[in-house]
Amino acid sequence: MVALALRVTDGQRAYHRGATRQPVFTDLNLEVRTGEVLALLGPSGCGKSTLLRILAGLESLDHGRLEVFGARPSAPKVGIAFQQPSLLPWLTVAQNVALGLRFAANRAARTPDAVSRVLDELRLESVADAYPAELSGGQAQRANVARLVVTGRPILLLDEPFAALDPGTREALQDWLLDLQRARGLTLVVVTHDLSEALHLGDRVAVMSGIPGTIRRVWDVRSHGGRTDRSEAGEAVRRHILSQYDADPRPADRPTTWADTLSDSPQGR
Amino acid sequence: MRAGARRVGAAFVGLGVALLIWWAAIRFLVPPTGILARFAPDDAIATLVRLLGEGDLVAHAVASLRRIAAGLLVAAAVGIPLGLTLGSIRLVARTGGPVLGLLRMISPLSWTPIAIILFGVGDSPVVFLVAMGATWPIAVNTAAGVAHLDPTWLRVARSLGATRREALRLVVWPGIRPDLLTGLRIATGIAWVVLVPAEMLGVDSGLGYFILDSRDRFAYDELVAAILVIGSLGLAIDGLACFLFGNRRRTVGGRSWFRGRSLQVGSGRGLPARTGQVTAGGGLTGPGVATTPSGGPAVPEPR
Ligand SMILES: Nc1ncnc2c1ncn2[C@@H]1O[C@H](COP(=O)(O)OP(=O)(O)OP(=O)(O)O)[C@@H](O)[C@H]1O
Ligand SMILES: [Mg+2]
Repeated sequence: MVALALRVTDGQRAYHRGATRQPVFTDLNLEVRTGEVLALLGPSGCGKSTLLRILAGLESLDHGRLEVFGARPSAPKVGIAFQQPSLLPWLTVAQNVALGLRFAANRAARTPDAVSRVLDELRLESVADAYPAELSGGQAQRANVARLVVTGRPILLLDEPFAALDPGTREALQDWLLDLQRARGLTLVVVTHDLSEALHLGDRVAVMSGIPGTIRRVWDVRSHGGRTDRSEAGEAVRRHILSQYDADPRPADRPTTWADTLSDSPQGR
Repeated sequence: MRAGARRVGAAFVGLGVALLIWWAAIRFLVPPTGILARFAPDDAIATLVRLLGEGDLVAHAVASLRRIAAGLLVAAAVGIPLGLTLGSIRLVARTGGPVLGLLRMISPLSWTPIAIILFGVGDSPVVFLVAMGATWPIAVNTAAGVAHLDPTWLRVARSLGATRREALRLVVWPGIRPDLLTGLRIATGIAWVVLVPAEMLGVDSGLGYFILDSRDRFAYDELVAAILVIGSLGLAIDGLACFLFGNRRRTVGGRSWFRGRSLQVGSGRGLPARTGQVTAGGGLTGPGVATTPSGGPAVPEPR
């Protein structure tokens, strides 16, 4: 029996827009094992970010149950990096990254060089004294990730963390993230639109379907041949997603970018 | 530094030219035996030096400054909580907003009769009138600051495990501070403008009183000297307010983090971010309704 870091049972969540109630997902079941990397794929608007906010304890489920390490969520175990890098504009990058450490909840993570180290690892030292308005999109995104990582939470949720990066930097940071994950034994949930990224990062890949969203299938991609050769797993995931896409009775709802992502993505490495 | 010196130099040239125009107008446009001739700058400056030496005028100025401080304190004590409430509770904003909009359009001096009925004569009605002018810009700007708070900032704080108090101290307060300070700065300008006429009502100290008193004594040179003091003190107060309230950190690096509601920013650009050049100077001493955050030089500088 593998210990579970996160578990959602029969999760339901809806938003109200005016008088209409719009379900984001119904019947969502998800298990994240301790120490694994779960990559989460799904069409735009299917509720991935909503799910992460729920896992982080920032929103609650309308129905269903969330367990963190097998118990009701209590002490801060889960950290999240939002899709939009939400840096505080009056603080420099270094101050933004250090923000979490100023809260008593993260006292344990305070070490003298915690901030400078993560800035260094994420190649942000040159902009450490810059303000968010002075950053490029990718720099802001990395600062966003850095701010999360220094808090030392055992479970990290990353919402498209490397979306605005050039391929070189992106690959380097993917490897940095995996090294960090292994070194600290972290549990990661990474949302991405990039199939190859999902296959590179994930021990397992979960695919969420359209509105109302559920998690249709989860692939154990590591069992398909480890991190070096995933073409087989990648093909399976890709076939599944495409079949879903074809089967969708309302294809117009699906943004074209999603289909583009699929056809453009190289297969797993 | 050089630019700063040049700026100060330009200011002195401007003041010198103004003085020259004043002098020339009295010298050439006014009959030398008329009353107006006694408003000449040379007399006034000589008298000013004499009065400052005697200490009387200083005492009046101190009395005025004390009332300003008291009025601003009252205005902040009322305006900040009012603004916080207006900015955070929609029902209060919807019901109270129009009331506030109405109140802040009323010239503070129209409250004079009520002030006298309420407080009689003395310091209190003057302080009341000053506060009446200064409360609204503080309240409106504080409310705007709260309303502009980005909810994602709070979500970030929560996701990082901040307690309510930590979030207030490290996110909410710095988030609304620039607007709050803009409000205070505008309020300071208004307070000074309201003060002088308010002091013409039933008090026996202060610069407003001094003006009426010199008129009654036909001491027009002293009257003009008092006007000079009022102008100079106002300029100094606004400069001080800029120094204290102008949020230097916000404009560091030549960019402000609130597009469209920032004080005028210096020309520094890019990294390294420590130009610290704040040109939020000039006067905000308009008579009372300027509640939109604004700042910078009294006269906009062409680019
Ligand atoms: N605060 C909210 N109020 C109302 N509806 C919301 C809110 N947040 C999200 N939604 C709706 O919930 C659905 C899921 O949104 P979510 O942001 O979780 O999607 P996503 O899968 O992350 O999409 P993307 O890949 O584009 O980031 C969308 O239809 C969105 O319009
Ligand atoms: Mg999203």
